[in-house]
Amino acid sequence: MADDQLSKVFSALADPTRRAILARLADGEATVNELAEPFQMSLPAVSKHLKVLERAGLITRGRNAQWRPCRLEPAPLREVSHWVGNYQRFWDDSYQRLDDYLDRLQQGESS
Amino acid sequence: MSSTTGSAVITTPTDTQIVISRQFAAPRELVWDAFTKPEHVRNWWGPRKYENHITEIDLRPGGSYRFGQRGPDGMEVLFGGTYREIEPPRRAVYTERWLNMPAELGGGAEGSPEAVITATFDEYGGRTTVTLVCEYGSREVRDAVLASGMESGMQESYDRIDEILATAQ
Repeated sequence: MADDQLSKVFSALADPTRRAILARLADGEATVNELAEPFQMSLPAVSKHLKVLERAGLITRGRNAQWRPCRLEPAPLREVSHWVGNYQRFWDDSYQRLDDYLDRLQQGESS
Repeated sequence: MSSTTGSAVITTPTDTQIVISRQFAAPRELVWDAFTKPEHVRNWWGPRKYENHITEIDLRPGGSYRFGQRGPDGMEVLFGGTYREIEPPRRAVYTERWLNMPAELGGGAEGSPEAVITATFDEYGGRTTVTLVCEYGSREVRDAVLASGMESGMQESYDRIDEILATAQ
């Protein structure tokens, strides 16, 4: 994935509504109306989110002019999935190890 | 574990920064050593399942460092940078890059974009607070780092992405 495309995927995923839309689409195709329903959002607001997801390559939309159902495209998600959660886990894990290690060092000093 | 002082606190005071703060139950000199001496760093830096096979530190302004880790699947992760300011035991300023960031994730010839990190060590009552101010230079890069799950509030959402992936396969 090119740098620019990756940035688009990350910024698309940074929004909780868009992640919820993706979660809904994982269950199958849906129209804009169906997607708008659980969020109590206006259709234009949902359309805006869908455009962001479409530009990031995370969804595609059907050609049928009237319904244009949205479909999840999982490939870009797979590419970023191993980044997902890594940073927070990295620090929490490292710092917990450091707690233990500092304990050991201090016990060693006092004995 | 009596000495656990909780998860790191992560904030975003400006559009281009991430700040990570954490308290440790140890005096400042010891925490400073733990962060700056290779024989200490290799004992705690990084996830548990990873082995620190490279820990090179040349702790002086202009000196560089390189941390290499190998995961259980053999995947290697290399981080490195240059020290700009060293004031033991209270402050250090250094650059950081993910040196072998894969091209498909946006990595260039030198890996990821460079971050400038200001680390401060403050002691109060025998406990030391370490604060890392990470400056990413642009909102896009900062957000990409955040999107990697650094912000604890996003963790749950990202677990959901894993679920989405599982469902979509």
